[in-house]
Amino acid sequence: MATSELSCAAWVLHRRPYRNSSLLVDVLTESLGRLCLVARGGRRDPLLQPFRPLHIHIKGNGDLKTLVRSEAAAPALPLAGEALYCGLYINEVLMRLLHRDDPQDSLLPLYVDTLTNLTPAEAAKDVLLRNFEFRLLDILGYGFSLEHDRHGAPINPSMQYRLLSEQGLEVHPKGEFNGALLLSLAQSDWQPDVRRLARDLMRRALAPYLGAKPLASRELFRGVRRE
Amino acid sequence: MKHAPLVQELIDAFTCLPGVGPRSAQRMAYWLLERNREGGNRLSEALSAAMEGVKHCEQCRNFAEETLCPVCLDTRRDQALVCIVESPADVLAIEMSGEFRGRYFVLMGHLSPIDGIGPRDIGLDALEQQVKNGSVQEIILATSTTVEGEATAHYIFDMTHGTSVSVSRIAQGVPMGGELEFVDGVTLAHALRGRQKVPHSS
Ligand SMILES: [Zn+2]
Repeated sequence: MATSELSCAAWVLHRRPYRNSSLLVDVLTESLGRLCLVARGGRRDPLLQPFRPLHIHIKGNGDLKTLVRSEAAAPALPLAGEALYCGLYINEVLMRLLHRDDPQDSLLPLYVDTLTNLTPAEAAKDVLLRNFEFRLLDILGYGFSLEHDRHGAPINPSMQYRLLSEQGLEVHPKGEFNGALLLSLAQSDWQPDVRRLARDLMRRALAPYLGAKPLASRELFRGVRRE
Repeated sequence: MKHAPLVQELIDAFTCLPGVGPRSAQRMAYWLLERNREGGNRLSEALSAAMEGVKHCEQCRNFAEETLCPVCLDTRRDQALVCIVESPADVLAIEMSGEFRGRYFVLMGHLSPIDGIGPRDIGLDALEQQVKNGSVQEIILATSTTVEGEATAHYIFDMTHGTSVSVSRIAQGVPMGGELEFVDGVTLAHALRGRQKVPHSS
C-alpha cells in the first residue's frame, strides 16, 4: 500500500484520548471532508484544539490516517462565552451529520465564515446558527424551499404548514409553521417571531439526521442570560 | 499460547489500567505470580478496600471515605472560598503549591457536549445549589486551558450572574524557569494578553 503524504488546511472538530499520550482527532478539511487522524503524542500539542486554523501534513490510507505534523495557519478564533457554546454546537452537529471521507466543497468556507462571524460580541448568534443549519442541510442534500411547498405551490401567508423530512413543507391545518412567517424567513426578515419559527423549523429539519441522543451543547444555552 | 483460566483473567483485568495493553498486562501478572505473591495479595486487598470504601465528598465531589473529605471538614480553611478544578490530581497539585487556604469543587471532567458530557454530568447542578444557598463567596476557576475548560469556566461564571459571588480565573502564561524561545505560541499569546503592569518601586 503506497503511503502518500499530503498537506491541507484543517480545523479540529473533536479530539479524544488514544493510548498513552496520543489523540484521535476528527478534522474538517476542504478537499478530503471529515477525516479521523491519529496524532502521536497529541495530548501535549496545544495546537490541536477546535477553532484554530491549522495546516496539517498527513499520511496513510484507509479509515485511520496519521497526522505527521501540524502548524498554526493563523491565531485561534477568539470565541468566548455564548459564541464558544455556538462553536461547540456547530462541531457537535457536524460530528453527527458528516460521514468520514465524504468531502463537500462548500462546507469548509461555510464553517469558517460562520465561526468568524460569531466572534464579535454583538453578533446575532441565533441568526448565524440558523443560516449555518439551513445551508448545511442544503449542502448535504437535505435542503428544502421556504417559498414553495413540496408540491411546488407558493407558500400561502394565511396557511399553516408542517415539515416532512426529505420532502419539504406541506399545508396542514395543525402545522406548527405559519405561512407568513415562513415567507418572512425566506426574505431574511429576522423579527423575533421569525427567529423562533426558524429555531423550531431547523430543529425539526435536523432531527432525523442527529440520531436519538439529544445534543448536549443545547443544554449550555439554558444557562445563558441576556443582560 | 493459551493461559490457564485464572491467569488469563488476571491479565485481562490489568488491561483496564490506562496505557496497559495485553503485553504489559501479561508481564505484570507473571511478575506477581512468579516473584511477588505477597505484593499481589496486598494489592488485591487494597484494591477491594478502596473500591468499597472510597466515595465522593458530598460537598466537593473529591474522593472521601466519610460524607465529607478532610479539606471540607477543616475549619481552619476558608470554606466560602472555592477553587474549581477538573480532577483530584489538580487538587493535589494546588495543595503542593501551599498557596491556597480555601476548599475545592472537583468536576471530575469538563463540559464536552460532543461527548455527551453536559453540566449535570460534572456536578454543576450541585455547585449551583451551593452558590444559591450563600455558602460560597468567592470562586477561583482553575479549569484547563482547553476549549472545553474555557466553556466550563464560562458556564460557571454565567451561573453566578445575579449573585454577589466574585469570580476569578487563574493566570495562564510562561512557566517559571522557562526560556521564552521554547514556549509555544499559544501560551505566549495568552501570556501577552494577560500581561501585568510592573509597579515602580519607591
Ligand atoms: Zn470535600
